[in-house]
Amino acid sequence: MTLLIEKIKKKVGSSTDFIFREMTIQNKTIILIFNEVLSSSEDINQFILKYLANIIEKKVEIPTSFYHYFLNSMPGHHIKEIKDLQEAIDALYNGYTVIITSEKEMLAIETKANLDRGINEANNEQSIQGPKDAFTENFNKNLGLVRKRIKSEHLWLQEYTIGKETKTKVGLLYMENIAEEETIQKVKEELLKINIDGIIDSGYIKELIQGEKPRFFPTILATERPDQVSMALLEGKIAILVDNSPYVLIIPCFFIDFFHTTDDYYQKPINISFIRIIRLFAFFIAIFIPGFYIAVTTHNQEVLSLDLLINFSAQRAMVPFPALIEALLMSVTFEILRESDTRMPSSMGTAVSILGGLVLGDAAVNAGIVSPIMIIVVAISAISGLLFSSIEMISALRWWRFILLILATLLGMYGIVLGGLLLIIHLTSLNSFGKPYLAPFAPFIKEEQKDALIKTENRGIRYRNPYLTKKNKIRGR
Amino acid sequence: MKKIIVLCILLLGLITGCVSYTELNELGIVSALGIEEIDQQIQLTANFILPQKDDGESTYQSTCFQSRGTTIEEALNNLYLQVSKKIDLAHLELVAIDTTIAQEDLNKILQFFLQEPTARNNFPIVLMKEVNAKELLENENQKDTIAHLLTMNQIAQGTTFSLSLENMARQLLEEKNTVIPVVSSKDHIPTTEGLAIIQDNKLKDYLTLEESNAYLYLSNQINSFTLIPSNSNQTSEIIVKENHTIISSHQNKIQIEIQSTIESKENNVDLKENYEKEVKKRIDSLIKKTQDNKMDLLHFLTLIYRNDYNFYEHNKTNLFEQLTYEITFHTTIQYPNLKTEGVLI
Repeated sequence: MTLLIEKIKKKVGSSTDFIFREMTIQNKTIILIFNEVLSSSEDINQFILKYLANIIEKKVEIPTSFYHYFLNSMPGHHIKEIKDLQEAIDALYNGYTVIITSEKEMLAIETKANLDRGINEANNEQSIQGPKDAFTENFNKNLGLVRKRIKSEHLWLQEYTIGKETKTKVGLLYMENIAEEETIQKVKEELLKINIDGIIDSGYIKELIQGEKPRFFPTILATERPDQVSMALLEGKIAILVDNSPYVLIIPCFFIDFFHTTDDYYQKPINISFIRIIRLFAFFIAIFIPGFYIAVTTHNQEVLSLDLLINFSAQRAMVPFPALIEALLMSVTFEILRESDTRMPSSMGTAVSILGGLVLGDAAVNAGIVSPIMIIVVAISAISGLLFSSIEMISALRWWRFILLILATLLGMYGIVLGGLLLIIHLTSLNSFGKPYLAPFAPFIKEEQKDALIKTENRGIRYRNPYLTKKNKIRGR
Repeated sequence: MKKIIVLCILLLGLITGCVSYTELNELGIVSALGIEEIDQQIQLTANFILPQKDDGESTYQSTCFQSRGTTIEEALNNLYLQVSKKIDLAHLELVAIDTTIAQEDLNKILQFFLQEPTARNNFPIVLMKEVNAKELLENENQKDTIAHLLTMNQIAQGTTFSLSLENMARQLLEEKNTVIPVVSSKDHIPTTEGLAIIQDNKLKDYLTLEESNAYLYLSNQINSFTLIPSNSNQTSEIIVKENHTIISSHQNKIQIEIQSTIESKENNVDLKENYEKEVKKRIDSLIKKTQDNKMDLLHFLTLIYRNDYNFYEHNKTNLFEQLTYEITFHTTIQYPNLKTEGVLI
C-alpha cells in the first residue's frame, strides 16, 4: 500500500491540497485520500469519517473484507469501485474521496464540493414573463433544471469526457422519440473527434464542432435558459451540456431562431408577431442603414429631396473627414464604449457612460469631427444590433455593417444591392449540421410559417419542423 | 489560388466604382437653370444653393453663375471650372429657356436632359419673353416665385399652368406639338404671359391670355378660376366654380360641350349669357389661330382618327383646315348671396 501511496503522490506532484489520512481499524490500515478543495469536508466528516469512527468506537465485527463491507454499507449516494491508479487519480480530481483498503482494492465515494454560485437569474437573456432560473457551472444542476421540466423517460443523456487535461464532462441530451438519429450520430462523431488538451467552456465545443467553413453567423445556439433548452428538445433538437459552463448548446439552429425568444411563447401571439417583425426590421437597419446613408450622400444624392440634401450638406459643411471615415470613426468609438462597458467595474460605469455620451454626442459635433446625422445613423444601427441576445449574432451584424459600408463607399446603391445579394448567398450557403440555415424560408416550409415570423395561436402549431424530426412530427391536437 | 482570387476582388474594389463618389461638400446643387443663346453660343445661368449652418440651424444661400459654350455640355464644363464643384442637376426646380433657342430647336435641350442620368425631368420648364435669365433667376427666391406663380395663376386666372420637361417631351414625341408657359419680368417681378405654341421642337407662335385660357378650358387643365371678361371692369368678374369639357367628333364636325358651374357676386341676369359669350369668343379665337397656322394644338385630328378612321383616311388632306365645330354650354349658376328661408303656410 505504501508503494501505491507513493505512486499517487508522484502523480499529483505532492500537491499540498491532497490529504492522505491513515486510519487503523481492527489492526488493519486503510488510507483515505481526498482533495480538500474539490471535496466537501462536511460530507467527508458526516458520511465517511463519522462512519469509520463509529466502526472503531463500537468495535463492529467486519465479516468480509473491508473493501466489500464498505462498498455495501458505507453511506453515500455514489460509490464506485476503482480498478487502477489512473481511475483513482481521475476520481480524486472529480471531488471523490478514495479509500484504499489494500494494494489492489480501492473505492471512491462522491463527496464533491459545491463550488458553483447557485441558481440565479439569467444575465444576458432576461425574462419578462417566464421562468427566471438560469444554468450554472454545475453539470448536475443544469441537467436537473432540464429534467424537472421534461419528466419523460424519452429524455436520454449520453456523457463524454473531453479534454486530455481538463477531463471535462460533456453531456448529450435529446428526446430519443423525437430527435433524428442521423443528427444525433453526427453530433456524437463531432464530439468524439475532438482532440484537445482542455475544455474550459461550452464555447470551445461550439467552435470545434461547427466545422471549418468560415461563417459570420452562428450555427449553434448557446443559451443560459433551461426553458429554451426544454423547448428545443421538444422540437427535436439536441442539447450539449458542458461541465463548468453556464451555457448549453442547442443543435441544430436556424437563422430564424435568433429572432425568437422563449418569452414569445408566454405572451399573446399578435403582440409577438409585431415584436418579431420589429426584430426583423432591426436586423436590416443594423446592417444596411450606415451603408445606405453613405450611398445616398456620396453616390446617389438624387434620391434625396432638396430640403434633406440642404440639411445634410449644411451639417457636413465643416466636417473635414470623408463620410466613410466619419462612419468608421463613430462605429469604432461605439464598439470601444460597448466593450469597456462590459469589462469595467460597475462602480465606474456611470462615469464612463456620461463621458461616452458627451464624447460621442455634443463634444464631437461641436468640435466639427462628426456631423450630427452620422451620430444618429450609427447609434440607430448599433442599438438595433443589440436587440439580439446572442453575442455571435451581434458580431455578425457588425461585420456585415462594415462590409456594406465599404461597398457603399465604392459603388453607392449598387454596392448596397450587391452587399444584400452577398448576404443572401452567404445565409443560404450555411447549414447547421446538415440542416439548411434559412429554413423555413429557404426551403419554404408552409407549416412552419405559423411560428416563423408571424406567430399563430399555440393550438395552431401542430407539426414539428420536418428538418428536425421525421419520426414524431405531430406535437399535439 | 484563393489568395489570388481575394487579391483580384480587392483590386477590383479599388479600381472600379468611386468615379461617382462625391462628398456633399463638393456638390454644386443647381436649383434653377436658364438657357439662352447669345452670339451663337449657349449661355447657362445657374442658381446654386450653398448650404450653411447658422446658429445650429441649416440654411442656405443662393448665388448665380454664368458660363458659355458651343453646347450645353461645354457650358456646364465651364461652369464646373468656375465653381469647382460637381454640378448636380438632380434637384432642379426650374428651367427657363429663351426665345432664340426655342425658335431654333428645342431638341438639343430635350436631348440633353433626357440623356442626363441624374436629372429627374419633373421640373417645370418655362419660356422667357423679353427678359434674360440672370434678371429672372438672380433673386434667391425667384424660382420659388415662378413656380408658385404658375400654380396660382392656374387656379386664379387660368391662363397658364406648370409644365414639366418630361410632359413636354412626351407631348412633342406623341403629338409633335405642345404649349409652354411664358414668363416675363416687370421691375424684377416675374409675371406670366400666357402660353406659347411649340411645334416640331420650334417656337411657332404665342397665345394671348384669352387664347391661353381657352386652351386650358379645352384641355381640361383648369377647374375653378376667376374669369374676367376682356371688355369689362373688375366688378363683373365671373367665378367659375367647376368646369369640365367634353370633346367629341362626328366626321369633320367637332362638338365641344362645356359644363360649368359659375358664381357671381352680383345678381346679374345676363351672367350666363355673358359667360358663354366670353368663353365662346376665346375658343373661336384659339381655334382660328390654330387653323390659320395649321397647328392641331387640341388634337382634333387624333380624335377623328380614333372615332371614325375610315372618314379620316379618305379625307385627311386639309381636314384640319376644313373642320367645323359647335360649342354647347351647360352652365349652372350659384348665387352665394341668396338666402333661403322657410315658407310660412
